[in-house]
Amino acid sequence: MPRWKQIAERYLPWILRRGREERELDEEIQFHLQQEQSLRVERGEAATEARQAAHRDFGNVRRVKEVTRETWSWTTLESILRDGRYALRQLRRAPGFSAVAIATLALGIGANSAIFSVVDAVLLKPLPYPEAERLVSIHQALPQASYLNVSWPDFIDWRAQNRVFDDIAVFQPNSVKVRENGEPIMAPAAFVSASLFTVLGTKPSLGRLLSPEDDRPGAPPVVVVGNSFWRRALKGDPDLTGKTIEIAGYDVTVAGVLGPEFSLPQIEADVYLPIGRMMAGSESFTDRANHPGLMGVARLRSGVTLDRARADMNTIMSRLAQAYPASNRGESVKLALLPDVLLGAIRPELLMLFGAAALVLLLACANVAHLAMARASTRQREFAIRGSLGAGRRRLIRQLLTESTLLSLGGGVIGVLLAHWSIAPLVRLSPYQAPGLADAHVDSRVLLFTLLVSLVAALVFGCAPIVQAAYTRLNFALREGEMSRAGRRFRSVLFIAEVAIALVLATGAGLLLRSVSALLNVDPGFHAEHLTALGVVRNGGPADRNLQYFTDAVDRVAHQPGVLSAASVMCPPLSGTCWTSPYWADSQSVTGNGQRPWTALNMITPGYFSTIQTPLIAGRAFMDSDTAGTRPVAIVNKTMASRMTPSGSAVGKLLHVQWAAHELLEVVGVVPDVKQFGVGVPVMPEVYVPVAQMPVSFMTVVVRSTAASGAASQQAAAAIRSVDKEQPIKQVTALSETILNSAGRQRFAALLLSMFGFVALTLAAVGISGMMAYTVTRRTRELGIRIALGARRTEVLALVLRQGMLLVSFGVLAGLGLAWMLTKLVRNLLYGVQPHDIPTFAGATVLLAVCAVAACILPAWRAAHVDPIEALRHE
Amino acid sequence: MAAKESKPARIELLQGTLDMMILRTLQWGPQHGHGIGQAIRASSLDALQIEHGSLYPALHRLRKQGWIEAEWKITENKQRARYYRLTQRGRKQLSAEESRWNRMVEAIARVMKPASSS
Repeated sequence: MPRWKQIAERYLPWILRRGREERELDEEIQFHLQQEQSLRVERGEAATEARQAAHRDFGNVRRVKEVTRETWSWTTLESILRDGRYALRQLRRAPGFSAVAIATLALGIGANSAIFSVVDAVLLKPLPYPEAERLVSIHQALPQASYLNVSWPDFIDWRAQNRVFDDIAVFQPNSVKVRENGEPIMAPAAFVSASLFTVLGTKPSLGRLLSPEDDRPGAPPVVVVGNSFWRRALKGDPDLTGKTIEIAGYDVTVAGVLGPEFSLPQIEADVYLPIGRMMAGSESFTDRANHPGLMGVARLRSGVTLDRARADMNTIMSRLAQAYPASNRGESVKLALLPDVLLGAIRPELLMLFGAAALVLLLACANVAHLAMARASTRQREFAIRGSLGAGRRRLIRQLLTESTLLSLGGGVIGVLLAHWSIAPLVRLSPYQAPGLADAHVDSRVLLFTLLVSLVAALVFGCAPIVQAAYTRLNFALREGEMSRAGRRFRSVLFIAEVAIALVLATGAGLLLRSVSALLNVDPGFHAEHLTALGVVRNGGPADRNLQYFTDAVDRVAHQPGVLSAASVMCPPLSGTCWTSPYWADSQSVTGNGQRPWTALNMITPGYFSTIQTPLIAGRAFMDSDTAGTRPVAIVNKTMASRMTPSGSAVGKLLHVQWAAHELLEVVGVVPDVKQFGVGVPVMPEVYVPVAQMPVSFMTVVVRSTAASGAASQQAAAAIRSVDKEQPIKQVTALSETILNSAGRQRFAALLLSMFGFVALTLAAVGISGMMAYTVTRRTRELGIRIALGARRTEVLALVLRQGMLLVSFGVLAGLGLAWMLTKLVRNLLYGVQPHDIPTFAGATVLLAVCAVAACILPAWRAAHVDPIEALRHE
Repeated sequence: MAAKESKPARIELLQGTLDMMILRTLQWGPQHGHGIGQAIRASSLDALQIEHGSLYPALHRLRKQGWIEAEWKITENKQRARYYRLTQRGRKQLSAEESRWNRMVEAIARVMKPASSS
């Protein structure tokens, strides 16, 4: 049976019956009145008197009908519809009120819906892995290094010995040369253990994934490709499996293609290569003390808790520490649930922004409540009439709530539209790299949320006129436009809350803006303007050829027009990662590996510090004469220099760096601290060595040019390619942008809080202005009398202003207290400013006070210019 | 003034007693709303001055409970009127309410006139 027919059969009799009942009740009552009338006429009363008496005897016909109808069980829906129609009529009769209310609510609801769609996409939607709550991220740690990647031999032992995981996997972010349309490009790659896809629960969309056999040394080379790479570079070839593609110059057979939803935790990759096959025999993998950039992930056996897994892994680690004290003494393993690792940092920030949006909505509700109360007080007469016509108190309350709900739903509809338009820019600006963030949009969940929020908002502001009415008897006792004392007090409380909320948001925005400016004013230790970084990877080849290549590339770039100087470095400033190594100064006693402090280790060409414009503090820069054949030298940063020799110069001292090419280095120079891991991250000790004495296969060419970076970087890239057109350039970044991005989280939060704060201040100002205008109108007569009795205009002005300012100062006090408590929530985002920063609190207060005074001026001016004759005639 | 004094004092109805009286009235046979009102007024010797309008919500409530049934009939004056009739369940309800009422009246009487019981 078609659906509409089902519905019709179910509801049609209901509707028909409903109409019949109504008609029959009319007829029944009509009959009663006629009967009574004719009875009285028979007794000798006059016809008209008899009719009146019959009506009097019967009581209020309308009310009788209403009460009778309520005994019919199906009136609820019907009366809701009737209330809705009536409410719509009422709202249409007050288009100004309705428009302002809907617009205000739309702002508040829209802000919440937009933030919710981001929160939903980032925090509430599950990660793209089945049973992600059983996934655990693994890394290692030493007392001096809280984060170490996983060591390969340890990983092998964990897999063999643990009793808590279904399986454990490792993966290593990497990049390999592939061809896209014949051109060589560097593709992000992941070297993964064959167990990775089993652990993550991944299914291929084409072919197969990796098997343990693929992962053995000597196995035929295979690759799994990501979905976007398959579509982009391989033209979405449906018969790809079994064919070969060129990877790093070799022909590799494609085993399978991943689905479009797959992504690795924390890193991006286009191709996935079996790590054991390629690396298992290499020195960096067989050395148990080495942690070669492997990230660990495991799947808990079902029913195993994280604590039990930790206990089991600790047992294994203590066994390993006994067996291999040189590498494993003091080493521990850190387990955390993967969802917490991926979302842990974002969660409090997003929830804080969500809370701020909720405050904006609360403020919007308070404003609409003001409006609704002012309107309700002008409708006393309407309510009184309806009441005397038999509308029960509950009906009137329902009527008011229906009107509120309609307004709120109107606001919700526009709010959803606002959210729809603002999600894309919001996501673009957001600094978060969370799975699912890119496809945040208004979906059914956002719609449902908006509906709920609208209904709650309707309840919140809809109660205001009801509370007011509760203090006001529904009769003619009050004149049109008057409000009871209790109603006024309630409005004052609302008003104080508004000022307080606006102040809290303004303070939060202020703190974050100060953090952003502090971050951007941090001295990064180098000069970022017109400085471009071009990442270059050279695959394979002997070390001296790599060195020659990078030297040539720097040379050619430096001779381009518009280039002031160029150099190359392994870890450019702010790149976030670098090699690290245990070190000890020659004078310090040698202790075990586990107890040694760690330093960052970086390789540079001679012109590096002059290119990034970091002046030497002491000693000399590297020179072309520092070669593989000469004495191993090092330049240290200021932090390292002061650790080596708290007083006196480090130049000329000897330093052991365990994993440098030459362990013993002579310090020849000291430079200021250059921010290596991010603008807001504290500097760690750093050792620079000449790349000639420790060649590497990937470096970043840094270029200082005279003009803006765009054209200069194009030229530089061309120059690098001219050395060897087979060498792809991985990434081109302007370092000034990197600095901007390293304040990304603060900028995002500051932007949103500023917007919210602006909306809040506007709403509060409108609220103040409206309330004062209302007060002045109410007191027109009194003010007229005062003026007639000789009060000066300035006195009247002060009178009105004083009343407004009294409320504002209560609001400010409440707001300061609230902000004092709430700003602790943003502590993690703050940089260079305390949560209780007095200048920020003072600034926000002054801003609010200025807005408040501005909002009071117009009504106060009107009050001062009341024409006494007009005012008295009015009454 | 004098006319008012001669009238018996009016008594406010107790909650729920109207329903009982309607059922009682219908015990004598089907009746329309106006007739029920007249009958209650007459049998109380005009002491119970019920507002006639209040009969109708009560009638509809009783009908929904299934204690009475309604039917459109033609009166002696050839007018269409809705007649209400006691159902079997309504009869049971009436006797239950009657015995409850009697117990209550006795109890109240004992409280109000303790001397007579001694």
